[in-house]
Amino acid sequence: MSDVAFHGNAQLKEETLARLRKHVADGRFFWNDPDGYDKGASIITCATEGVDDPQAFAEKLGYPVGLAIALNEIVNSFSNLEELASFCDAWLARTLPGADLSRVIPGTLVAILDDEALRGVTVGYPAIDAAREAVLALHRRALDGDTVERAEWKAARAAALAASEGSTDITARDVGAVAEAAAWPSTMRTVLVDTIVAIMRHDVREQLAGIGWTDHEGDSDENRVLYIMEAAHDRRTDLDGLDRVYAVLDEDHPEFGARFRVRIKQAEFFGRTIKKTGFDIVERLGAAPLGDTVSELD
Amino acid sequence: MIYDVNEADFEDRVIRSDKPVLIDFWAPWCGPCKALAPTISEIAEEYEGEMDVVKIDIDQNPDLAKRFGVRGIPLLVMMRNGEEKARAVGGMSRTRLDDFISTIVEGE
Repeated sequence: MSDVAFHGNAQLKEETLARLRKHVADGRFFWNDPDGYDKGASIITCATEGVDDPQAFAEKLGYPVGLAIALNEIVNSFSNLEELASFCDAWLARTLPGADLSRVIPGTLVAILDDEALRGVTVGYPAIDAAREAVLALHRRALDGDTVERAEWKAARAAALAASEGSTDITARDVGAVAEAAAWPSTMRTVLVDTIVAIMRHDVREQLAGIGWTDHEGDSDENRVLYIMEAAHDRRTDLDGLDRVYAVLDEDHPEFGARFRVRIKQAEFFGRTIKKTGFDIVERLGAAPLGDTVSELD
Repeated sequence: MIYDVNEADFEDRVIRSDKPVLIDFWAPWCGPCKALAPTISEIAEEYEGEMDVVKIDIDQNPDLAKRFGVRGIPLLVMMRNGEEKARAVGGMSRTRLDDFISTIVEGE
């Protein structure tokens, strides 16, 4: 795989963008493959003309496969389809044909690990902060062109694991998981998406904690909803989905039901960290230098 | 390299292997198994030459599933010198899977 955007082919870019824009204009653009290209398309199937596979997207358009895999996850962080369409348009439009995209993933990993908000949390857990810094240092070295040995990655992973497992604090384990997920060479296909998902888990838990809602194991609020609905299996069958959950809670647990409504509303904000990473990636795509196969014009 | 193994070639591929073997018990209908698949694939690359990775479809190989007492999937079993050394049920991160494997691969 070349990591050279659109394999240097401007026409490929224009055709792909045109297909995306037509799907959007026709109301046939969706978050995920709608089970058939004849029904519409996602960003992945727009590019591949029907093959719902990030690897196929990467091979066809010259993006690193790890970026295509991450893109497939990032799209799910958008709750508004119009905003998603605009993001996907920017992803393609900002990428110059012939750009060398090989530094986009490592640059994104460095940005995630060095993010002020994440640092602000890990500073409270010295061992995890040290693990995060160690993984960050390895990615910076790799970005500078240094060869990072397999043993060094392994040592960083071991330190990240030990730091997480040494804590019973949920927040510590969440942010420790970010360092764990990132402690691999950026060339591995799922490092970026795993790191993004780890950040999202932490973000979601923080946001839920902010509204006083618990979602970890055992007697969490999240599990309480499940238990209540299991017990109420034959109740309010006149309703479906969330409407049914609201109805049961309102009847039997009105205070908890009011909190649950706040929790559902909060879900609109769950994707903000991943969206921010997505837009950061778009900026990096736009800033990627032209590769050796292209001569820049003066 | 990941091999699909069945009851016919299990002894050769796994028991008589001169390398540690990671067995991935899975089924086509298992969502967590599919979610774990890319991680297994990358781990196989990471340990290329040091360890073999085999996949066993429990629907196609019920005797093997019974032999290993498979109760939940994905089930990962580390084998060395024909013996089971460790097992883990359920999805896990690449880092934790690496930790699970490395103690066996790097051990005696």
